[in-house]
Amino acid sequence: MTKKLPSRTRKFAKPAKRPKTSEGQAAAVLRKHAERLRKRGAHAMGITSKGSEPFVEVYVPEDFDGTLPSTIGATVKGRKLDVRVKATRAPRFKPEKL
Amino acid sequence: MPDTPKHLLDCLNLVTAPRMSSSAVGAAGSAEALHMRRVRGVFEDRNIVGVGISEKTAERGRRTGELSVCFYVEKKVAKSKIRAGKLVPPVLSAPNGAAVFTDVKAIGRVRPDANKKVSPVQSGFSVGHANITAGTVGAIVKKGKKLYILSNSHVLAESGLGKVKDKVVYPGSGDGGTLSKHLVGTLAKFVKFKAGGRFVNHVDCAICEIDEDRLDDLDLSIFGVTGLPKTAKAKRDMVVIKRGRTTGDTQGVVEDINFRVVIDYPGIGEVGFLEQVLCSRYSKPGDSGAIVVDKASKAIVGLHFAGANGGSVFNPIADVTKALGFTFIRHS
Repeated sequence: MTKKLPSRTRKFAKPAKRPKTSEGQAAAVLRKHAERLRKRGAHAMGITSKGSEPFVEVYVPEDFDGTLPSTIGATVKGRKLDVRVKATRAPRFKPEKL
Repeated sequence: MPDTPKHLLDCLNLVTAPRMSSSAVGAAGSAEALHMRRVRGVFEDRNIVGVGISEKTAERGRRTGELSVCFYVEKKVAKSKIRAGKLVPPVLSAPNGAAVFTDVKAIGRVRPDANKKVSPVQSGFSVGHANITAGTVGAIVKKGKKLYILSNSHVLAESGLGKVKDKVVYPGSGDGGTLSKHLVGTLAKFVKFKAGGRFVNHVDCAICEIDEDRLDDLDLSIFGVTGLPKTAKAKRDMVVIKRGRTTGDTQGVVEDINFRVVIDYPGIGEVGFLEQVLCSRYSKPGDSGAIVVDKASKAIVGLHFAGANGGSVFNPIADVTKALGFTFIRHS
């Protein structure tokens, strides 16, 4: 009789599932990076959450040729968080008097 | 007057079509094609504001009973002052060979309709500091025992360059408001911007004290609000509505309640705002100052102040009421 081979066993512990970053947490991370992003050329930024985990949307001028980080991170209430950054070229916002 | 004959409509189409098709006008270089090219060249004159088909009028406005292709101008100019190639020809050649008379009528500069009126003073209508064009009355509000018009600082206070007691007109001067006939009040309070671009500003708001002689000419209603106005915090995906000077009654959807933006104010410089609300586009220039309302709960959520193709932006209403110290009034 053929010896039954042992079933595969996990050698390493499965990494714990990272809880999703909430909108409030993403906003807290953005607060810590907002000035830096502005100095890098962004004219507007915010938290977007279109059916996925919230991310930072950064608006840059249409002729922007600089660079922006792909993620920003910060420790919020003892938890290290990373939030994705997405850059969008867009005209600047203006006051809307006539 | 009978229905518009086909040859007139064909002629109108030839004159205004984006491109001239050679099959419609005849071979390139033919007399008809050259004639139409000359007629279409007339549109380069900015004085021509439109073209259509209407009854031809003779001198002193005498009606002729004959339909013609009518060129509408901002104002009539003497023929001697127009180059020969830019004169509207007296007769056009329709595709079927028929001769079509032309006419020229002065109708002024055509502008989109705007929410503007002189009476009563009401939320959603044109207003402005005497030195700016126009914005929108957000609401009529109360502070102490007096009544005020709420709008933006860049509408009522020249973005902070104005002074308390500066005059405000309704409608705004961009809509024909004048100090002699349309004075509605004086600037009472505004929040000064901290320029430099850093994200430190929360509001673009101001109030104008309404003159005593206008106090009997007020409509306290706010579009979308019933009973005693209540306020609320905007939430993502909230459907909001507003009434503004330029676009009237529109709606948008809240996309971002943590929006930060740097806006250039002429004469002031870059002003950075934080914790603003970004919505899908519901506004155009002239709508600044409009009150933004949650369509579902009818609660006031913000004061509109900026926009771009990417969306419209408003101040959270709690920041506005805190900065200026007013209350909303019930409309009975």
